[in-house]
This record gives sequence, structure tokens and C-alpha cells, in this order.
Amino acid sequence: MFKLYLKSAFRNLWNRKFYSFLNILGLAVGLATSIMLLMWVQNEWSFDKFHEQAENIYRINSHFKTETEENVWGTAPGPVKVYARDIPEIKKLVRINFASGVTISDKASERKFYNNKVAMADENFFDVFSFPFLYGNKEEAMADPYSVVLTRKTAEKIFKSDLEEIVGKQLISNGETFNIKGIIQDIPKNSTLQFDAVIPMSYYAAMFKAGGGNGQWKTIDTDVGNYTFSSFVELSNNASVSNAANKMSSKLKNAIGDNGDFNIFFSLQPLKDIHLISADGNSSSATQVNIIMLVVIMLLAIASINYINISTAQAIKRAKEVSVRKIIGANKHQLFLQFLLETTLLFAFAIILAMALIYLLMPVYNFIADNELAFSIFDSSVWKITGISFFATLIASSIYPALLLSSFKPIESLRGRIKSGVKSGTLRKGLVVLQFSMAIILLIATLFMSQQMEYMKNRDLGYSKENVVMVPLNSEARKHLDALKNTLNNNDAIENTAVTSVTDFSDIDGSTGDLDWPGKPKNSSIIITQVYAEKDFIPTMKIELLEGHNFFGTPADSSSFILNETAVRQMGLQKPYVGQEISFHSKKGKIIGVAKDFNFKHLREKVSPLILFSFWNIKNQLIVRTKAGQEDKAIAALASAFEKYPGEEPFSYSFIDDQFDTRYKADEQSETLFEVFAGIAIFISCLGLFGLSTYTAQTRKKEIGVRKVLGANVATIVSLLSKDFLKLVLIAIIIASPVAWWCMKEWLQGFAYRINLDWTFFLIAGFIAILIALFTVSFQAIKAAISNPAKSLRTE
Amino acid sequence: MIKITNLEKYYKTEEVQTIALNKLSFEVKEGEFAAIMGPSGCGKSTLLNILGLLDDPDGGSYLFNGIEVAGFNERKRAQLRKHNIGFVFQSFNLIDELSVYENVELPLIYTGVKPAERKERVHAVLEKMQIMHRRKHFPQQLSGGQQQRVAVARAVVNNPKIILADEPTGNLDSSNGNEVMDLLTELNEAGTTIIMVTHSEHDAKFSHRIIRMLDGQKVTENVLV
Repeated sequence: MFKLYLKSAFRNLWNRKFYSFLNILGLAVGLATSIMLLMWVQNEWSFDKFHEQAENIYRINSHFKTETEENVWGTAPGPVKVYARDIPEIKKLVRINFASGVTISDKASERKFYNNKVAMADENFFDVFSFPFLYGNKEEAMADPYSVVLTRKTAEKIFKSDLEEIVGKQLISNGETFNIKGIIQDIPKNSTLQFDAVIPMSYYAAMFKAGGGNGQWKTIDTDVGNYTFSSFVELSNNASVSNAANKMSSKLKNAIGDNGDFNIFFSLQPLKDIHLISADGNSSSATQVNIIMLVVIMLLAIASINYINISTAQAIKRAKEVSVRKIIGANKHQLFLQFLLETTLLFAFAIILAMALIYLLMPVYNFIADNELAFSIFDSSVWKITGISFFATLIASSIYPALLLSSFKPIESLRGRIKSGVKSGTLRKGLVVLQFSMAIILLIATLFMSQQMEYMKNRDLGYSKENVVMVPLNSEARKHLDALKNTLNNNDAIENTAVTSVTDFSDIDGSTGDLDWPGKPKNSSIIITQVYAEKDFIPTMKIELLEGHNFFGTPADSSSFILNETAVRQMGLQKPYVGQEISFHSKKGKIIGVAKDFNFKHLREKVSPLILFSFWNIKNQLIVRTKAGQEDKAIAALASAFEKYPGEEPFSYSFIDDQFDTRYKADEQSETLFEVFAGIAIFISCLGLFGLSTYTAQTRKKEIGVRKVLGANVATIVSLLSKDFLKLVLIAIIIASPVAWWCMKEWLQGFAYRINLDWTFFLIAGFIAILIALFTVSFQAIKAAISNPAKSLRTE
Repeated sequence: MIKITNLEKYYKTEEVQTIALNKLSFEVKEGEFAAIMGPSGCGKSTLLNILGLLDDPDGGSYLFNGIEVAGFNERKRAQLRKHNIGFVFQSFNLIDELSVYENVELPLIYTGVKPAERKERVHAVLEKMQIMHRRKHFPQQLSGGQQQRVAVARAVVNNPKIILADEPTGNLDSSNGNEVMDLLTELNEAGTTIIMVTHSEHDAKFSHRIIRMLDGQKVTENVLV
């Protein structure tokens, strides 16, 4: 029986080649896209779960709370290690201090390798986290301060020899010699902790002590002034998370005493959440994953609807077959099974095609998404995802058509009398509306996303970011800054140069609460971003001063401060601001100017308070404004000027423009992906519409013939056949618009600086949808309209 | 074998009610070959559908082999139908996706006959209908006469007690039509009861008895044999 079912299923698919092709193509594209997206979702959800103790590991977050605001950092001060010893809930605590841009050289060959990320971690690092050793062992690896553990990739990069020979060799970094004690497997891509090498915290602790500590605090275990350690605890099974956090917080309070301005406390965030939820609770990454899940469901629904529509439309043609089968003895159950098998067969073809598509498109997808998902048929998770998508879609698509077909009353369908609902296709119409609504929602979302991206790229940031090059300063160059700047300023291609602490203008880091002013309310403070700037900084960046003047470049600058508008507003100062006294890091001075607000964070965030100071040298970077069109000349001049001051690292530079591009890369990628998915959703919907319009044109052949004989022209027939479908698309637009409006309103909330919900986008999306639908439908309508009426009448 | 008494069937649309069968009564004995004649719309096909347990009467009694089946639900009717009744239609109604062999085999599959026995029975009936050489062909590759022979083969493969034929020669030329009528006669002679609806006086002459209908009622009955 099964064999015969399979045979007739095959022949059925073959006899209806056109519809089978539409169905298989639509399903394959839908499945391929969904499977790729689900692989991405699964990858996002899998972060940090590979650690054996993942369920019990938490990150310590530090909260700084005033009456009006709260700042949360994903780091903690050094003494948490000491606090944890007396807290029974905490089994282990590990602190990590990351250093990036580290230069490492092989002691034997003296070859240098730049830009390594080194984790300085407590000795129990490899007990808490599961990073398996290839060579060496975790018991000995961290015992001595001058030990280093390399990842396989780093080891292979530095030494060209066999891995097993590497353990025992020596590296030089920061002028010290380190012994290689182990090589670990490469860090999985789905790990939040990423590094090239690990050295023991004892090394950092010794360095800290030798450097005189931090003010009154002489060891890292007592320094409560620096929140630099990414700290993780492993709790014992079933321990109360909040109890552990509270105990840690009260120990911190004992250590710092009453800090009038802030309430500082700790919270514990599960390790497996930190990839998608930031320390301050911002879950926009998690939301993005959920949105993609929703898109997957929509795509699969759209593909299923195609199948349901085409197969129920075909049901009328198959009614005769069903009747005959019933009359000669088939029961409903047997017919249901037969149709289910037929659907499964079609789906099997679709999934094979989908796999081929994924295999071909994965590199393209990885390129767009800047991802490295591998599609391997040996990966069990690939099979899991494929299986789930396959069966979910199969069940959603097959049950209704199979039930419908198997429930035909034999005698009525044999005579061509079929339930009016099936023939007029009320359900099909509803599904087309649903399908197009989803496609239009995606289309509208795409339009808004691309506009928001454009807006962010072109927004006036409050300074000019074009033609500005940043060069990191090494210690030699720092010693000869005046000479260096003179040489450069005399170059025709260079407009201006300045020295600053800022390393990335798209995200200026470094903030403090150490700001005081007369009339500052008790129990309140503001967190202010601090930027070291000399007198050339404001003119080079073309920042506008609203009040007062710039630094003078004289010793008086050390007691002068420039604040931004938001800072003076939040501090509650009264005009005129210039001349008012403030104290910053206990240094007393006066406000000499107020700068117009400029954006120094992602445009998702509002401008926050900022202070420009110059009393404390943090000369990280040289910023160089070049003349437009003369960037190459300016860079050549920079390179030759820096040749005189060689440092550890070779000369390098970056454009501020590029920093912005990097910052917005993720947004741009999700926009591109959305464009692709909206396109695919519309494509699949159109395949279905094409199938349905073909079917309608075929079933109305006789009617069209009669109309033509009676004198109808091509235009009237095309409009007759198209208008029913266009009506459906119009209804879809009406349904989709408010839903899309709501979604976009929510999405735009995530941006402090955003475009308006412009109704013209809805019009444009609607117009595009109608145009595409019209194109799809009119193809068959025109074909039907120009066909020879004599032929169509004769076949009836 | 079949006994109907005061059988009634109505068709309702929103406004009008049409009477298809109006208190119709007659009996067909086992082994009989009865022809039902009458103009279009007199209720012949409706009657055949009720007799074939494809449709339900609205009133009256229908005894099939002595069992009252008038109130049977679809499931029970289907059960009775597949073991006792074979159908032959004017338009053959073969399944296009199945070969000759598979079309004939299908009723046996649905009644759960074992593969070995199926093969034997399908072969026997194809031989008898002289279409064995065409067993691998598909319906659209056959002439009308051949298609109807396959349809008859399919109708008898389950050894039904009764064959209901709805204008079995309506789509055939006279020589093919005669062949089909000869087949039905042979089957009848071998013991199968046959009820045939027809427009053709020629075909009706093959039967033992002609029941003439008009407006849902029996008007005359001529016994030919």
C-alpha cells in the first residue's frame, strides 16, 4: 500500500510540474533562509554555555546609584577576591584584567608580534572556566608570576615549530621574560571571554605594588578605587544568588565607609546572559535575537501558506480522483495518509534543495552578517535545526489540505459540486492577506531601518569627523611633541594637530563621579566623561563654544575646565557659567568655557555630561586634520615624521570616519540582513500569488473565452483577473501598516537620536507591494487574455 | 437483493425544493440484470447513488440483502460498499496517475487483501477482460473502449455481489459499446447482479427488465426475459 502511495505521489508531483516547482522553490528558499537564521540564533544562544560550570558562574556587576541615575559596570574592584573567602555561597572567585594591544616577542628569535590581547587572571582561572589544555596542565600553569599560557592559534603564530616543543620556551613582553607553561585549545567563537594569552594575576599584583599602588591603597586586594577587574564567581549548587551579592556589597560598604554621593553595591549576572544582556540591563541584543526568531516564523509561515494555497486550489482538480478512490473503497484515514505522504515527498525535495542552497549561500551569508557559521552535515545541531524547521513547516502545511481533500463527499465532488468555501477560496484569500501582511511589515521595517542608518551616518555630530586621522603616540613621540607638531603643522596637506586622551571618537570612554561644585546637593552626583585636551583640541575637532573661551596653552590651563551643555544643565548651574568654581579629582579650578553638545557615543545614547581638562597628561593620541583631498600626502608626512620617534609598535593610523563605520557595522549588517529577508519574504509570497493567479486564469478559461467572443478586450480581461488579487494586497496593507507602525515605534525607541515615523514610508511600502503583486498577477492575466477564445471554448 | 420502498430524495437550494425521488419502490433480485431508463433529470442518477450507498435517502426504506441501510452513516455505508458493490461510470473515472494494473489493484488494497493474492486476482481479471497486455499503460494511453474495460475490471476485482453501471457506453462508439455490454452480460451470467442506468434502448435490451422513470417516479416496468 505504502509503495503505491509513494508511486502515485511521485506521479502526481510530476504531472503537476509547474505547481510542484513553485511549491518546492518557495519552500526551499523559505527553509534555507530560516535554517541559516536559526543557526545564527542558536549560535547567539549558545554563548558561554560550553563551560562545565556555566550554570553556576556569575559575573559581578558594580552599581553606582544616585537619586536620579544609576550606572552599572560589568567590572569590580580587586578586593572582591578577599571578600569572597568568607562567603559560603561562593565556591571560587576569579578576577581577570584584560590588556589589549600587547606586543609579545619570541625570546630566541626576537621576532615581534603586535596587538595581542592578554588576560591577567587569578590562579584558579582554569578551574572556573573550561578551556582545555593541549599541552601542559592547569595545576602548574599559573603557579609562578612569570608564566604564560597561549592559545593554540597564538602559539602557532609565534612559533613555526611543533606545538609540543613550544612548552618550556620563553617570551618577552613589557621587558619581562615569561615561561610558556601550557597551550590551550583555541577559544570557541561563542565565548564572551576572548584572549590570546593568559598570565597569572600575581604578576599584575606585583607590578601594581612596585608602582606604588593607587593612592592610599598599596595592593590590588585593598584597592577599592579601581573597578578594572572582570570578576566571576562560581556559586555552590542551589546557593542563593541575591544572598551572595548582598554579602559582597556589605563587605564593600565596610571597606569604603559612607560614600555620600553614591550608593555602590554589587549584583550577580548569570554568565550565560552576558553576551546578550549588558551589565546595565540593556537587552537590545537579546531583542534582536527575538526579532530574528519572529522573522524565521514569518518566513516559514509564508512558505507554508504557499503550499496550503496552491494545494487547496488544486484540490478542485483532484476532487474526481478523491471521489473515485472513495467509491472503490478508500476510507478517510487512508486518503489522509496518502495526501500526507505526498506532502512529505514534496517537502523532502524542498529540503534537499534547501540544503544545497544553504551550502552555496553560507559564504555569502557569512560575508553579509560578518559571521563564521559553518554548515556541516556532521554537526548534530544542524540536523536538529533542520529537523525542527522541516517538521514544523510540514505539519503546518499538510494537515489542512489533507483533511480537506480526504473529506470530499464522493458523489458531489464527482459531479463537480464542491463546498463553496473551497471553490471561492475564502481561506486562501485570508491566507494571501496574512502572507502579504507579513511581507509588507518586513518591507516597512526595512525602509525605516535604512532611513535610520542614513540619518545616523549623516547626522551633524557637533564636530567635523571628516578628514581626521588619529595616530597612537609612543613614549618617544610623547617626549618630542612640540617638535613633532611643528613639523606637521608646517606641511601643506595638514590643517591642524592636537593631542588628546581620546582613542575612539565614536565611543569616548572613561568617566568619573569625582566632581564637586558649590551648591552640589547632598547624596547626588553626576557621572561625567573626562577628556584630556590641549588648546588645539577644540579648533582641530571644530567643536563649537557657546560661552567663554578655549584653553590658552599656558600654565593657567591646569586650573581651567570646559564643560558641555549637558554637564552644566545636570549640575544645575546658573548662567553665566564662565568663572564658576568647580573641583575635579580634587583639583580646584574655574569653568572657562561651555561647549555645544557633541555626540561621543553611539547615537542610541543621549549626550551625557563631558569635561575637557588639561592638568593631567593623558596623551594617548595625536589627532591630525588634513586638507580635503590631501589625505595621502598628509599620511606620508605623518609616517616620515614618526620615523624619528620609533616605538615598540610600528607606525599606524586610523580615520575617525572609519571608527564610526566600525561602530555602526552591526546596525548596518542587521539592516542588510533585513533587506535580504524582506526580499525573500516578498519573493516567496509572489511565488504563491503567481501559482494562484495561474490557477485562476486556468479555471476561468471558459469564462474568458465567452467574454472575448462577446467583445471584451485584453485590458478589461487583465483588470478582471488582477483586481481580485490587488484587493487582497490592499487589505494586507491596511492590516500591516498599524502593526508595522507599532513595531517601528518600539524599535526607534532604542535610539536617542532618531527619524520620525513618517507616513510616506507606509505609502511607499504599499506602493511597492501593489506594484510587485500587479506584475506577478498580470503575467498570467495577460497570457489568458491574449489566448485564442476558440481554443479555450473547444476544450470545455 | 435490493428492495426499496417509498424512497424519497429532495434537493434544496435557498428558495426552491426539487423532488428527485418521489416515493419510489421496486425490487431487484439476486442475479438479475435491470436497466433503468428515463429522460434527463428524472432522478436516475440520484437513484443509482442511493443504491450504491454513495448518498442518503431523505425518506423511505432501503433493504440491502435484507438489512435496512437507509439510516447508515458514511462510515458504515463505506464498509458495506467496498465489499459488495462495484461501480462503472460513463466517463470511466480511472485514476490518471495509476497504471492499468494499479487501477485494478486499488480496491483490493483498500480492502486489505494480501499482496500475493492481489497479484493473482488482478492478473485473472485482466486476462478475462483481455487487457493483460496493456497492464503497464496509463489511462490516457488507452482508447475509450479499453478504458471502460479497465473500469469494469476494477469494478469486479473485489467480486462484488452487485454492479451499478451509470451509462457505461455513453462515451463509446457502437462497437466498443457492444463489447462492454457483452462483458456485463457475461458477468451477469456468472451470477453478478447488475443495475444499469442508460439512455440507450439498444443497451437496455441486454437486460432482463427495464424500469422506466419520470419525475422521480416509476412509470412502467417491462420484463424482457
